[in-house]
Amino acid sequence: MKDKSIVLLHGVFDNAFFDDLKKANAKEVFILEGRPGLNSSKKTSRELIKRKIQPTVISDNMAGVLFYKGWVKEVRIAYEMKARQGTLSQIGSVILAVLGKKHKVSVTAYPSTEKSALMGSQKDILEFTGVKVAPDGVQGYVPLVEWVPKKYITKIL
Amino acid sequence: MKESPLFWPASLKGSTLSVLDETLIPAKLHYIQVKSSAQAVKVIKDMKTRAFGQFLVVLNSFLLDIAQSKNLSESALVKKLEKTADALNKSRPTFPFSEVTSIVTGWANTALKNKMDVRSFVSKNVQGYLMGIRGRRLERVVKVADLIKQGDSILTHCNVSGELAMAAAICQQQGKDVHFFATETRPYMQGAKLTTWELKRMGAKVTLVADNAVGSLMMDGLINKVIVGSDRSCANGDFANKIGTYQIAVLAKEFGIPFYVLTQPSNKVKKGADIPIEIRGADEILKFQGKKILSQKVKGFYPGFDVIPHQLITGQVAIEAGAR
Repeated sequence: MKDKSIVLLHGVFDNAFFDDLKKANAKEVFILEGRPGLNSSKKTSRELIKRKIQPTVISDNMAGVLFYKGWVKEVRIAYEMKARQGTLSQIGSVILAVLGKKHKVSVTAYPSTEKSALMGSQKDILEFTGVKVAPDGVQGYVPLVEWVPKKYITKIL
Repeated sequence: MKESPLFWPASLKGSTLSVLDETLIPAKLHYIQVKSSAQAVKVIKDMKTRAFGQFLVVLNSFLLDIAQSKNLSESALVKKLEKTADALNKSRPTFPFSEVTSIVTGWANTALKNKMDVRSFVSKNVQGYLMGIRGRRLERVVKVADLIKQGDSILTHCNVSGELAMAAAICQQQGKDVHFFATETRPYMQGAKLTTWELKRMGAKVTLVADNAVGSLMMDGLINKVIVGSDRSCANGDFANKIGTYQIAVLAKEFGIPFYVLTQPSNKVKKGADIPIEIRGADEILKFQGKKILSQKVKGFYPGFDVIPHQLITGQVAIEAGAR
């Protein structure tokens, strides 16, 4: 991996976003799984492959090491709503935005095609791809979106 | 003290090493019967055990060699122990197994040089070493319990090999009302499978969250302390731990939440940048229980560990001297 080579995507973006990414000739495009529904990686990888951009998937806890190593060139997150205080984005966006700020990597927010519920169901987190992973009786907390404060976002489109 | 099975997950009985298969928890409490050092290396490589369990398997591998080499000369036995050390050292790059294996081969060579009984000398030293570690870990459990205060809401990541759960049990006895949030810890789900299981087994209150929910939890003020374990420490205070720990530490710092780590201090590595980060096979994140997660032809990237700079740490609960 080369320094400042990775474009990191998180969320569900519109077609224009992917067309622009293709025009920008992005080489190393990394996408996060997007627990609990994995919608982000499923939809984003489909759109990228359609445009012959090879995506690399990482788990949601693996973004940090990419920043630590200095490999991230830019972060692009999707938003479902924007307001004066920031954007309502898919869960996990705050982590990327804070990492972006710490490592001086630009974070751009793009409009999303998704309209998510605020919270998911217990089952979403107690199972992975339909397979039960947590022991009986354990409770889950499943936020699906979160507000990303404006101070962490370089540009909102 | 009420003990979690994850606190001491491997024990030698006769010439067989029983190793808790952590990949089967929470469905089953099953111990793999390991009969040779080669099998022990495989158990480590296949991640049937991890963290402290690996350390136990490494030390006990030498006892297995000794138990199964009754007909070998003293010098041949030392060579065998050195070969085992080499295989263990190469089994997982991020782990400093050589720091432990070199001690054992050092004992073996000392015994050989001084015409002592190698078998007896190495066995007694390994057993003594294990008992010493056990005592110091039990002391650390008490220190972790002291760190936890009434009303705390604690985020933890991956699994702290029994110690956090045992500290939680002590807190309960002390009447402290404490809540834990455990991250699921993709791709092997140690948080979802092991941490929730052992905390619940100890009677603690625990809630499971996705790895990407950490920012939301912190911003919404739902946690006030982070406690994690470590796999390797450096002389300058940096440490390595399960992938995902770095971003938790960065966010904790950003949101002013104290971040504590259980460490085994070592001066063998100067700083975090000197720790090699193990890159594991992409299939381990692209497949779950043998099935592809995404239908598209995507690539995967799986760094197994994070290195956390000491500047992000509020305090260490070290194995010898306590919080510092």
